[in-house]
Amino acid sequence: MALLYLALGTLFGFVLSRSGAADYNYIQAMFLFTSFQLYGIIGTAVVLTAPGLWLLKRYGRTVSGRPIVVPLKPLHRLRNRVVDVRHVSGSDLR
Amino acid sequence: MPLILHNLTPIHWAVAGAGIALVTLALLFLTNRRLGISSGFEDVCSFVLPVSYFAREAVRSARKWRMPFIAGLAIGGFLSAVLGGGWAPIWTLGLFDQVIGFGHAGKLAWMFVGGLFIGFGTRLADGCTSGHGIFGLSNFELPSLVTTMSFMGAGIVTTQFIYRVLFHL
Repeated sequence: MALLYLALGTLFGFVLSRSGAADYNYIQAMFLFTSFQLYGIIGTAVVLTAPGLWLLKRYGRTVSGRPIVVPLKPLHRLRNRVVDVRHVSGSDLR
Repeated sequence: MPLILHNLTPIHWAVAGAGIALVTLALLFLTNRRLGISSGFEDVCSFVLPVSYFAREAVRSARKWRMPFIAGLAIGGFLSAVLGGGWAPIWTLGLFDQVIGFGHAGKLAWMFVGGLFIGFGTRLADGCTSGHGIFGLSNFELPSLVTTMSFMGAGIVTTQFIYRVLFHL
């Protein structure tokens, strides 16, 4: 399994490196509105991943037959959540 | 605009986006993992910092897949350089060198502070451009929408301020 993760990571790294997503000039050009490249990449990735995710969740399983489990990100509500250095060094901030 | 890497022409954004979608979906379909990079910072820290925050189960259990995935990221970048004209350590940073300068020490300090912000910010937000921006948005998660709008907005404001106001680009 480690080799599969390594292979997927390698593909991901190669794409980021060759597409400009890991390029200083392209990142600045995105924020300076002088290049569409990275907006196009993120947009395409989301537009293609969203229906794929929906289908996978509807189909409901991975290739090995196990049910899809997506750990969701928690919503930190500001009104009852004060960021405190104790949380950073403790175990509260996840 | 060519890449800083060997002045290569970047691959088309639609192809790159499709490649990222492929990796994201393959990771979920083949291995039941949620794409994420910045949590890997915690995994790396957990090897060297014996504090309870890094010893929690969520970190320990994720190391076995995140570490090879992140190692792959570095290998992918290395391959990209080798196949694109050869690998050599470089220290050029395009627009930063042209407009801001600051010399080697200043650049090192700037990058170090940037790294601190990335480390703290991704833990504060519980994710980065990958976990929130790609996976979270694709999964229609509200926290990911809030986070992505926050870091894109903050990136736009600070970059415009630094380059256009402070350095008169």
